[in-house]
Amino acid sequence: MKHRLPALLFLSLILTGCPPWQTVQGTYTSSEYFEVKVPDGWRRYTHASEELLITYDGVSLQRVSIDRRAIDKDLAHTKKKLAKGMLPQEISEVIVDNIQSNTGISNQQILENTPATIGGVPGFKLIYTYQTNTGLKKQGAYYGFITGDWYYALIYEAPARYYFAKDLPTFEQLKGSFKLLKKSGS
Amino acid sequence: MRTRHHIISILALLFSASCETTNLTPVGKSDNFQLEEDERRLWNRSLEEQQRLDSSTVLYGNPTWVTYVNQVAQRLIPEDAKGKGLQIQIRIIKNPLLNAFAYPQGVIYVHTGLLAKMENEAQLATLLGHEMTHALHRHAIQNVRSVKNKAAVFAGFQVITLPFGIVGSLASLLGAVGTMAAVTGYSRELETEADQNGLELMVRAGYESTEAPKLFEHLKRDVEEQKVTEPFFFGTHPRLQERIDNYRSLLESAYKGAKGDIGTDRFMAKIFPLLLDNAVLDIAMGRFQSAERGLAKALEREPDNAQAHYYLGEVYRQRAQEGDKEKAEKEYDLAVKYNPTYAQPHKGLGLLAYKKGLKEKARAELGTYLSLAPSAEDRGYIEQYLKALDSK
Repeated sequence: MKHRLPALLFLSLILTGCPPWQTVQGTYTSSEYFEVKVPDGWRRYTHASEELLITYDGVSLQRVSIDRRAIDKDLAHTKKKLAKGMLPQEISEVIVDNIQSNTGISNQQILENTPATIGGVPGFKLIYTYQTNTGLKKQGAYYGFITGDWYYALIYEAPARYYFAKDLPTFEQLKGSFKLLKKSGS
Repeated sequence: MRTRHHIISILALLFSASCETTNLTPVGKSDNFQLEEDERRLWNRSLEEQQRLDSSTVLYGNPTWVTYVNQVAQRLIPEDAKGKGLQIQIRIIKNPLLNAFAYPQGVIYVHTGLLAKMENEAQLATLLGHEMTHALHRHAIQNVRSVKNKAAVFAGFQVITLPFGIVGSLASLLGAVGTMAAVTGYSRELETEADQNGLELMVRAGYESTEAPKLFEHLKRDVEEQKVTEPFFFGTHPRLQERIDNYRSLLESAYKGAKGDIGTDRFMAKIFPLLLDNAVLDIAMGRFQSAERGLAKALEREPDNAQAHYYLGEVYRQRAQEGDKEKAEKEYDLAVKYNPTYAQPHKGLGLLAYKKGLKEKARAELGTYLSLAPSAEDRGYIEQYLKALDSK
């Protein structure tokens, strides 16, 4: 697997003509749905399935992502569904279950589940920890909300020891700069 | 990486065991039981897996239940197998899926989901007898050896392509030995032997033999009705049918007319908290039908239990199908009726009212919730709702 990844990255570079990692700075605008101020010097993965995926030291050491998905689309791990008109607390129940049902990790623990406002929209904030298959304890901060028919998630994950605390303020700044645009789907 | 290490270890075990016999004397049937070399390595591997499970957060700690299932297990252990190296112990895993499995050294793990489907102690004894036989008859090492004898490469493939599906965090905790026991099961011959000897153990312990197939008939009906595909041995239709056929056949021949202890009252008196705890797990996984059924079973026993009514209200509120809001409100009302100082149903009623735009009712119920549970973890959310109600 270690040998395959560079080869795949190289192949994608050849095929698409653009490098998979690009250094970012200033304001990032995603398809006119939202804009967010990205931390200078971080790198964006241009082939991510999420709307935005950035890191500074590499995704295994810290990753910040912004995901936007239709609310009727199944979540990766839970059978529960998101729905229009859900209260932030109800949305958080579904997302907590999605984290708890993830087959690839273990010892998931929710440390905090509180209301939050993201880009002016009521939502929720989670702080959680889990253990990877290699035994590494990771910690995450997760903001989520529904606007119209769309669900948005701003997620920061890093190893619980040292790295999570180091870049949490950067993530909070990014979250504070998040702004929905006219075509956000609300 | 760890998975790959497990696979390599198991394959190494398989290759090194090519000349070993698959017929082994069950524990207790000879005076000098000793582990064979490959069996010792398998036990060591199993111990590592067990330690990982036991140090995780998946174990169900209710002491009443842990003591109870172990007492039933003690009744089943044959005298000649006691003190022969096996450590028959039962541990319960917080998981609503239908599953139980035994490690070679005798530690048996049973999911709350499987226990919640049982109706009496005789059915519990059936399951424990079956699993205990896997350890007593040394099925794990026999299975490893027989797979090697037939197709070692295929065995490796099976280990790699496990259907973990919705197992949740348990998937990453089970190693190769646990997976063999919990997911794929043993060969048809070894499972049949486990049915046969397990039934003998429960009858010898004084349990009613006719309860044996009933457990698996219930499980099969559940699996069929819910149209769910579960990844574990006891959640798969063909494996359940095998058990039913085996037990029916044994009852027709060896145990015809044998009567014994069913232990319904003893079992039901203890199962109530487990039914509620398992329903919470079902709700968390979005298995609303299973949760509804478990709670209905609980309410049959204690119709005026406020907690069971509240959880049933949660099933309906979270499922949110047509007519569910009304059902949820009814259950929350019953919960408040049976225990007016129970905070949670007030929150449920408050949230329903909030979403319906019934400001006064929402304010009153949410206020009551916070006054009854001032340090509620979701206080922040509730205060936000109250603030929104005031500003509307």
